[in-house]
Amino acid sequence: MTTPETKIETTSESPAPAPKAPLWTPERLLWGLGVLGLLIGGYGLYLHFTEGLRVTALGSFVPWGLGVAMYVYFVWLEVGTVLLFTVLVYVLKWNTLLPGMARMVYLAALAFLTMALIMIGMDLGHPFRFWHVLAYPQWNSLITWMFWLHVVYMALLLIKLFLEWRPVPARWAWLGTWLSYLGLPLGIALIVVVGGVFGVVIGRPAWQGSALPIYFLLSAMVAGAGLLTFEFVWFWPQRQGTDYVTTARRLGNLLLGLLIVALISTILIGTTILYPGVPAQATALQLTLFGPYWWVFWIFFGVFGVLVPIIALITQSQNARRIGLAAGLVVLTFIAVPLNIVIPPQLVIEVVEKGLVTAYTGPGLLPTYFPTWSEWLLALFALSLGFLIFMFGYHILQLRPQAKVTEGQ
Amino acid sequence: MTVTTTERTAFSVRDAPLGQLEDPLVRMHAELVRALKKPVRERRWAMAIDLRKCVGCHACTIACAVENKLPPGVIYRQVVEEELGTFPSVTMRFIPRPCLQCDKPPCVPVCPVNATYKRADGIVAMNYDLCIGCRYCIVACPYNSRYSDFGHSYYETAPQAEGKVASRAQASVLETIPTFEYGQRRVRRGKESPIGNARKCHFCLHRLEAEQLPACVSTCVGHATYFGDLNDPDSLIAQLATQHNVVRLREELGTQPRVFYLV
Repeated sequence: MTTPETKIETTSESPAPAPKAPLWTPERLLWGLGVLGLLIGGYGLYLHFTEGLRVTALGSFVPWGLGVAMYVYFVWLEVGTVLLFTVLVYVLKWNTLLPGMARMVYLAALAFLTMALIMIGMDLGHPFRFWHVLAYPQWNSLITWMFWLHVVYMALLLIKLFLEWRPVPARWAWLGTWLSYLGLPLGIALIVVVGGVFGVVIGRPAWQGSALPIYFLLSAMVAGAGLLTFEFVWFWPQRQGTDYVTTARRLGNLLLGLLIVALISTILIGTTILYPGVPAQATALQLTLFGPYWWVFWIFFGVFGVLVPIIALITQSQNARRIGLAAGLVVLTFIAVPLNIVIPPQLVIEVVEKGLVTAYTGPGLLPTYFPTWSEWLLALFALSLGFLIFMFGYHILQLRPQAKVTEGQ
Repeated sequence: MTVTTTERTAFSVRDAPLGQLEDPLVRMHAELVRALKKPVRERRWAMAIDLRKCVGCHACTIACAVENKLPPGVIYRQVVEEELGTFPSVTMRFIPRPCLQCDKPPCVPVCPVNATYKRADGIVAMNYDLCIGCRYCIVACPYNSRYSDFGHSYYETAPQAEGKVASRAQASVLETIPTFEYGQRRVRRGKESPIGNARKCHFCLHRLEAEQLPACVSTCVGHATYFGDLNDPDSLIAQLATQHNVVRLREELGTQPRVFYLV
């Protein structure tokens, strides 16, 4: 047994032990949350694999639901951010800070792409047959184009991310620049094609028309501006100085402008649909505005997605943190837009085809839709996986914003 | 020599002179046999439904479901009921709604893998093994005539009742009776096709190839449903389709349905 004296002697001879790092650092907490979300959400994935789509609230009258809406939103975020970043840095040659965001922009885009592909892949009746689109493509279908554009865009993102991670010799610098330029038409095509998937169907009159692809592009820009602003404000390494505030302000103003344009476009599209009152179209909008999910439009989108961010961006245009909060709110709440685009136009069947809906009943023949737990769990799985990919890139691969870069200059 | 029922029926119909066949079913059968002798690309299958004769008995719906072993949530031929007028001047109208087998089907070009296609004889068919289950064709159909097989079963809600006739185990056996859609023997189980696929009416293609009329036509108690080859000018369907009281659903879309309604 050691005496107190010997203890003192021992301590005096050896160097003082380093203070223990706390068990739950913010980083570890985030990793933990990501893994927890993945495990809980994994049950939804398991259910989708074992039970198929019967665990969803989908049916033949409402064949597309939360999965498709979230897919659309993740594509908006993925492509919208990269598009806007490329335009600002490579085309408009914005200030010296923004190019430093390249690593994070491509990393986040890759995370959102993963989420998008999980959501749409698990929304298939036969997920393991996805390769049929590669092997037996039918080029008249916009889904074929969407799939192939995803493949090409994913390759482009991976190369861009690799070039950011392991910079190439100076003589190869043109490759990154040209890939960025190539990403512009590819990104626009991808967004427009995703919008076109809805716009070309005559089976759902509320979707059909040229407005939707253009509206998708605009919405992707808003979502992208929100995400880019959020990333810059909260992840830029030196959050002091005039350059930081100026860039945040400029991004905030851009987001504000895009939000206002999106708001005006939404009002214009809405009023032109409501005025003639064609039931199949007007009913979809009336359901969006006053139907069972009115709160998604008015509160989620109207108040927290548009009104509050616009007020914050107008009144707090000097405060970078407020700009970042407003941008975060836009990113969080803009999911309401694809939800309102995807779901209500399918619910109109109850009004325009009432006889068909009541002619024969059974599971999968309901004119209503609200996601089941398994759908929410699958969404949680996708979000958690995307988050962990981002964490891996950010913390392990050190794909962080850099104050000093030469890209785009 | 053993003669199957199909062969016997076909033999007698073939031998009967057309002018003496009074019953439309017998006449359509004879015309069907005649059409099947032509190459596929020279046939043009079509259906006519006389709304004045439809009594809304739903026999066609049931016959179709039994013939194709349709699971819950999948139905190829619904009968829409509409109540017109106000009491006491009220009348009912019944509109059977199979797939209209459009000549310009909106569901075909949207399929990313060619799993749904227009056959040479005009029937819009499905390749279950190719279909990825994206349900784009269901969304694209302006007539809501396509359905997704989500894998539901009637027996999943049946009582366990082990050892009893109405037990879940017994019911599940009934639901594994194979279907012969598109001439392919398929047992609906697990996640195998047609589970996870889009499904639709195909004018009972497998019956046509066996010289039988579609189940809904044979079952119609009021003789309200007619079927045949439009390319045969002497056929009943060709005569009905050229009448003045013929309408097709949502003609403004330009889909050119092959199902005609007599009003």
